[in-house]
Amino acid sequence: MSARGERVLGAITGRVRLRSSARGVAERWSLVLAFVGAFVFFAVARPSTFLTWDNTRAILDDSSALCVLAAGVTVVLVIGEFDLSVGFVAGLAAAAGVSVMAFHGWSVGAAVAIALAAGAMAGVASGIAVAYVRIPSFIATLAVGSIAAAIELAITKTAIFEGLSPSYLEIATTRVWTVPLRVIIAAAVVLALLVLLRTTVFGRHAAAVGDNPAAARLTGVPVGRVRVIAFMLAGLAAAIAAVLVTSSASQYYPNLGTGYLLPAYAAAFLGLSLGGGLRFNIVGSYIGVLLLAMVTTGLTMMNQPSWVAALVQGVVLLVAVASVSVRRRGAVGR
Amino acid sequence: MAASAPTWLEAVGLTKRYGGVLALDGASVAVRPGEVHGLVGANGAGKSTLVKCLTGMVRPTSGSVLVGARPLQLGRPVDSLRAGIASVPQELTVAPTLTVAENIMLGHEPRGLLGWVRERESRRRAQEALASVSLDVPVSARVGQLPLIEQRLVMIARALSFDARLVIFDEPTATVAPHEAAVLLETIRDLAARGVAVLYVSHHLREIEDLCDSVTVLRDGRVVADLGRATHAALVELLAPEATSAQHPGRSERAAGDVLLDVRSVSGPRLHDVSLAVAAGEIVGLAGLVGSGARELLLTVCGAAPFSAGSIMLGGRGLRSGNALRAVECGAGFLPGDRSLATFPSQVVRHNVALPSLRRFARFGFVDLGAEKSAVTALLDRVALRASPEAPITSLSGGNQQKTLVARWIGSNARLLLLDDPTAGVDVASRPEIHAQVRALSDAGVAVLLVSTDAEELAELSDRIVVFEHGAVTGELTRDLLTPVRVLAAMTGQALAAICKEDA
Repeated sequence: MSARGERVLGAITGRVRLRSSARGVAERWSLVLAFVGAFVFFAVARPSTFLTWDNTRAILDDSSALCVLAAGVTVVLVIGEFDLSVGFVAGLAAAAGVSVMAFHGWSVGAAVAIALAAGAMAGVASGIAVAYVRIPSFIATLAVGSIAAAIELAITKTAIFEGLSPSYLEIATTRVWTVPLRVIIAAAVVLALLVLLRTTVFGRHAAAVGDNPAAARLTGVPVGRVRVIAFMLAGLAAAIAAVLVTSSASQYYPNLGTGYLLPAYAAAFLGLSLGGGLRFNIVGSYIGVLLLAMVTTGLTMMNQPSWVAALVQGVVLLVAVASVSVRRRGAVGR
Repeated sequence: MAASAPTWLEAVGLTKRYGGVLALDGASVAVRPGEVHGLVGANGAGKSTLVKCLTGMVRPTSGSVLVGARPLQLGRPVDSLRAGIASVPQELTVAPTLTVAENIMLGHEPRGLLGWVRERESRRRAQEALASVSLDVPVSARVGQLPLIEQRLVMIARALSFDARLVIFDEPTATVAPHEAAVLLETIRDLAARGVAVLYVSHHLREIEDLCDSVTVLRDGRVVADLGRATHAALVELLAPEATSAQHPGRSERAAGDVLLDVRSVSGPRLHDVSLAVAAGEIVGLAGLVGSGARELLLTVCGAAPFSAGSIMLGGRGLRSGNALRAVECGAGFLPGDRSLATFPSQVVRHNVALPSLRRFARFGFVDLGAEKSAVTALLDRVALRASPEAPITSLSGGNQQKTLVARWIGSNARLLLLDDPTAGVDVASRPEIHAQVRALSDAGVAVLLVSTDAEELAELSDRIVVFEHGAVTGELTRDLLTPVRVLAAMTGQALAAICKEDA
């Protein structure tokens, strides 16, 4: 690969340039290679259905919620923590937003604001538990997620709400030229978080906390505040994802977010290779989501049963993370 | 009695090479049963490498070890243990939620049919081991609930439970209170009296004088002296670096600035009523052994350790217990001895240097890359570091990493520099450069607190030296008294009155 390519990649991912050994380069670009390889494979296998703008648009549109959720999860991974609550928080945000609209006749704008506020508050709760109460994030976010799920069910009594305001459903049906609004929203969120992590003081602080929390503290980084903000952003992203899901489904249904947790982490870990195996990054997570969505769609088009897609996703993830772990061990053992 | 017994362990010509560095250079040592044998030397003299060669943790490049006249298979911990060599590590390595018996027998539990642990036999053997260190606690007690000193004794009992004929102690008294140290020393004397050989590694020369029947002195990986009973003063003479004060004159007298750091009656987990004032432009050395309170004070000021009483004022503003953010905001800059507490390994030099001063380059929270890059380049010039700001920090040598950390705190306009062993693990060439940087900063009005295990460094850099022992200040060496020998004597526990009387 060219030196320029390395630089461009470095600029995107904020990664330290690694020694450009052939193996390192191959590992670094493995996600992109897998993406291109899968694309070419399905394009050749199903040229008339896969290789169309309609299909591309459908893949982008269907994965928009997951893109947003994965980007939020990535922010928390960057500071070296886990957020297992995002699926439940998405469910809570959906319930909060939809119920004020359906029961109290609130406007679409107010409903979205309520959903975002619910997501942000859940994130702040996790952040405070992790940053100031010093509960390991795995446990803290599991607990917050459970509480969020409980509040969701208390609000909705496990009912399904339909008949949402038509202007709310327009979020999912509007197209700008030919691009669905949901795709634009997802891209905007991804871009905003990318800029935040790459160019702001917060982004530098977040990377420092993720890299070496003890050193960050001693260097004057407000570690607690950084952690709370990171979890808040993940909660916000979960709420935005909830709006994208409910507007497209034209309904609220219980536990709508729980299915998103594992794919979001799968995507983020796939994206790790683009960060040289050391750093989670927004672009990598985005490509990871699209790869997973493309594989699912492509295999469906080839009339494979749905378990094949799940199997392929699992194997791809194992291989990606295993190659990264091998590299990390190598770095430590040196 | 000890002298007449035949040698039990004899290490001959042990050499260990790490890359281009000779950690151990033909070192020989002989230990007899019933003898406490001291092993002393400065940091990096090869003490730990020698110990690791004996315990099998490290395979020496060349050399041999005879145990009871039979050659020991080197580089295999199991063989060393079976041969009767056990070591009590400096830090506690107990499993706190397990019982005393389980801790003692961990890894060599008596097994019965199908691999079940024979509990009664296990408890009986643990009981025996406890008796040999005169510790009277139930073997069913949870170790984590015992006082620290008893946890130590459990670890010694564990070492003995391997039928040890030689027990190695590495700085056993470094982190315990004086009355607890007395208990440990008594236990060690008992062991020797019962015919066990003891290898005692310590910086604490007064303990060595009191305890050891014979002493081996290491310097730069070589044995420079093999003594019988040795006095504190004799050991200081052997350990002190050659007089180089002609090349490195101490700092010249200068007018003292205003008080910048004012520590008043501070007490904490390891500090007792410490008071200290540092003026702008002054370099104050803190001398003392591990656990003496010197490093603890540094950590307390920078917010890495809490304090429970007293006050710390920096530039007229009060610091808060365990609040590093506040300390940095008030102008403190901490260079830890362990650089893994300061560097961000997966980031470039520029990110590492600019971190505490990012807000100066930021507009509305966005980092102005142009301003940041030119500032970092200027800072790297200032510390004479020829490295790209975009190089990974891990690609730099230890000395160059340390220079980036100096640059970091120059960049943040730190008014108080807290240095912990600033040249430990740093190459020979970088050492004078880092010293020159520290002097230049001090001349520019920065106050410096310096902790070092290197007496020469303390004597060279400091305007005055405050001596710590057992968490309290025990005295002060003024500029006219600063020589490496006196500093070493003071930091290894010799009374200041004696040091100054000798010279008078």
